[in-house]
Amino acid sequence: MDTLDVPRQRPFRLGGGSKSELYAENDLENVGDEKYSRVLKPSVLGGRRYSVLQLFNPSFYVSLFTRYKKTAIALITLLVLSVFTDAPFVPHIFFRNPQVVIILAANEGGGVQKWKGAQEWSVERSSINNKKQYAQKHGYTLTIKDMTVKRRYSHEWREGWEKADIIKQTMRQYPKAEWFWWLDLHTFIMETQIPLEEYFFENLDNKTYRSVEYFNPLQLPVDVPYVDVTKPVEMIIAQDCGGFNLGSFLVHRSEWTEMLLDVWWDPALYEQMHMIWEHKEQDALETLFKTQPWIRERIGFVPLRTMNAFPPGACSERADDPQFFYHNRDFVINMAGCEWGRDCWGEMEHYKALSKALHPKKWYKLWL
Amino acid sequence: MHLGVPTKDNFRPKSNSGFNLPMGLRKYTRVRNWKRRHFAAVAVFLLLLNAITSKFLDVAFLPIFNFSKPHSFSHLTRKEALAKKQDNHGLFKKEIKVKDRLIYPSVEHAPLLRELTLNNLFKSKPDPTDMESLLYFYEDDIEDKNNEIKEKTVDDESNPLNVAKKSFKQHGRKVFNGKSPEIVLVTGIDFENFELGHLTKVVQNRVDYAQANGYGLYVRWIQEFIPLLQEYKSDKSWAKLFVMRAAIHAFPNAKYFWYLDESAFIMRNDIELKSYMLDPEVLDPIMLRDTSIVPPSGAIKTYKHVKAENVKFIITQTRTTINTDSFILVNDVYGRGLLEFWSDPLFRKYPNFPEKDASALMHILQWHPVLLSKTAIIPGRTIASLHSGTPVDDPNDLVHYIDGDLLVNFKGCAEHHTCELVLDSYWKKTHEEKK
Repeated sequence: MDTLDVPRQRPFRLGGGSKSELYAENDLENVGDEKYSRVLKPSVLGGRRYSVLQLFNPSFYVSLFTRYKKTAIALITLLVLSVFTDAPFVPHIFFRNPQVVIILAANEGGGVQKWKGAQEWSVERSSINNKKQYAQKHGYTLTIKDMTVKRRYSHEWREGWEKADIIKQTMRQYPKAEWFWWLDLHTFIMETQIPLEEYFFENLDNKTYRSVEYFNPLQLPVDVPYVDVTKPVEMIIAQDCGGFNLGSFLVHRSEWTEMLLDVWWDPALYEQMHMIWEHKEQDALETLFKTQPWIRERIGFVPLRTMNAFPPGACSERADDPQFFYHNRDFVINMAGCEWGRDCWGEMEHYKALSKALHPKKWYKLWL
Repeated sequence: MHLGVPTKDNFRPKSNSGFNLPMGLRKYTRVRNWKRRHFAAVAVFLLLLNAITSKFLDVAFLPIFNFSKPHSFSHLTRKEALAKKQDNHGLFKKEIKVKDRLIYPSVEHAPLLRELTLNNLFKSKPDPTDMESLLYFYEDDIEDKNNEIKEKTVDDESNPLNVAKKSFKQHGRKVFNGKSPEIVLVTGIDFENFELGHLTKVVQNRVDYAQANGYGLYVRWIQEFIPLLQEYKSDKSWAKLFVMRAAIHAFPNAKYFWYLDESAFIMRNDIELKSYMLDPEVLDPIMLRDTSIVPPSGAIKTYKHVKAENVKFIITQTRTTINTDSFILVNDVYGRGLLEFWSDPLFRKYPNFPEKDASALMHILQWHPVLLSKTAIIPGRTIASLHSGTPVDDPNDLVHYIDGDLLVNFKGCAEHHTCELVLDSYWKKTHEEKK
C-alpha cells in the first residue's frame, strides 16, 4: 500500500530558479503535474490521484490539517462553541430527543375592541423576549399565538375557547415536536438555565401526583372506578387555590392528547354548562377529569410552584399559604389575573429585575 | 556542601517538583516531556476551576463535566402524595377472580330477584327531591355519615331469596383471570321485563356462540346498574355502556368487545367474527364511506378515506337511526375514550336527546372528527339484521334479516311487548334445523 505513505520528503531549494529548472534533473515529464504547491507545503495527496482509501489513512487528515491549519482551527472552535456553549451568533447543535414547542399566547382578549397601551406593549415585549431567550438556550421552538377575539369564538358560542384549537394547530405545524408547553402572556421564566427534559420529562411518571387526594381544592372524588394509573402521563398541570390552572401546562403528542383535544369542547356539554363554566376550558377539563377515567389516568399534577408560582395578590383568599407563592429560585412565575386590578407592568418589571439579580453575569461569560 | 563523601540524599533522584514523593510512587509522576507536563497542569487547573464554579456558582465552566446540582422540583413534592396511586378497580373495590371465560349470572334467580325487588337488593334512602321514590346505593359507596342509608340484612343461607341476593351482589365483582380470549361478547339482561324462559334462551344462545368460537362472554343484570342510572334518571338503554365498561375491566387483555343487546338472537354459531368482519381486509370493502351519520340524509357523513386498520368502533344503522343494539369496540385509548365520553353524565341528562344513547352517539360522531375517523358504519345485516314482520324477498336489502344471516335483532320489540314471541319463533327455527 505504497499509496498510503506519508508524503515523501520534498526537495526544497531556496531561491530556486524557474519551474523547469527545479524539476529538470529527475522528472521533467511531471512538470505539469502539481506535485508541490507554490506555498511550499506538501499538497494533500502528494501528487497522487484521489482514492477512497485515502479517507482511511490518518496521515491524509494530518496533511489536510497542516495545509488548512487556520480554517481547521476556526471550524473546530465553531464546533466546540456550537455544541458545548450557548454563545450568540453561532448556530447551535442539540443532541436531544424530545422536541419541545413553547406556545406563548399573546394579545389575549385584544384586537380592535381593546387597544394596547405603552405598558401593555412593554409587558408583551418582556414576556416574549424572556421565552425567546429560554427557547434559544435549550434549543426549543417558540411559537407566539395570537389570541385576539375572533368572530368564530364570539359570545354564546365558544368565547375564549381557543386553547384546544391552538394546540391542535401547533401540533400540525410542528409534526416532529413531542412536547408542547402552553404559557400565558403574563408569565416569566425566572430560572432560564433549567432544561425541561431534566426537570420534567425524565422519570415523569414518578415525579407527578397521580391522585388528587393530598391537594384537592375542588373536592373532586378521589377514588374513581376504571382508573389505571399505570398509563403514562401525557399532560402535566398544576392546581392553584381554585382548581386546575391552565396558565402554564404541558401536553405530550399522543393518541390520548388527540382525543382529549377533540372532546374538550362539545356543544351539548357547553350548552348545559356555559353559564357555570366561568373559566371555560379550565372548567371543562375539570368536569371531564371528574367524570371520565380515561382522562384522569393520564394527567399528572405538579405543585403550583413547579411551573406556575403566583406573585402575592393572586389567590388572595389563600394569601397566607406559602405553597402557591413565588420563592426565590422557583422556575416560572405566573402573574395570573394581574389585568384585573393589579399592575401587570409593575409586576413584570419587578420579576424581570429579580431574575436578573438572581443570575448575576459571570466574569468569564463575555456574552449575554 | 558536598565534600566527596556521598550522603543518603545524593542517592535520591533529583526531584522535578517541589514536593517529595516516595520512590514507589515517583515513577507515576515523572513526565519526561516538558510540553506534556504543562498540558497536564493546565488540564488539572481547568478541572479544578470547573469543579469550583459548578459547585458554588451553579454554572458549569466546562459543560461536559457538569457537577452542578440537578434541576428538579423534588423539594416541592411530598413523597407520600407521590406514592399515592389508586388501584385499578371496577365499580366495586373487592373483586373476585374467576378462571372461566364465560361470565354470566345465575339466570334461574330471575323470579326470585323480581320478588326481592330493588329495595332489598340495594341500600336505599329517600330521594330528597321526590319523597315517594328511593335512591339506591352500592355497598362500596362513600361512607355514610348520617346513617341515612339503611339495608335490610338477613343472613339465612337456607332461604333461596338470600342465595339469589348474594349471587346478585357478587356477580358484578367477577373479573376474568387467565389466558385472555381475543373477543368478548357482552350482553345486559333485564329481569324486570322478561320471564325466566326468555332470559334463559338469550343467555344460552350467547353461551353457545361464545363456546363454539372460543370467545369470552360477559353478561350482567341491567338492574345492577340502577344506582348509576338513577343518578340522572337515565333510561335503561344507557345501561349497555356501563355493562360494556365493566366488561372491558373484567377482560383487560381482550382486544374486541362486541355488545349485543338482549333483543337479539344469534342464528349462526359457525360464523367467526375475526374472519367474518374484523380483519382489515374483510372490513375495508364493507365499510360505508361518505354515508350520513343520521340516516337517511344527515349533513355530516363518514369519511371517504378511512383505513380499516384504524377503525376502533364498528356500528350499524337502521333506516332512520343508528343501531346501538349491536356494536364492536376495540380495547384501546380511542375505544375506551369513546365509551366513557359517550356515557358522560352530561350526555345522560341532556334533555335534547330523544333517542337517548343513540342520539348521544350520533351527536358525538357528528361533532368530533377524531372519533368519527376511527368509526366504521357497516351494513345492518352484518351484525344487526333487523327482524321484519313481513318476510323479506329483496336480496339486496341490507337491513332486514334473511335466513343465513349471523343474527337477528328485534329492535324496539319492548315497545310492542313482542320480544318473547319473536324470539320464540327464531328459537324454534334454530332448533328445527338441529333436528
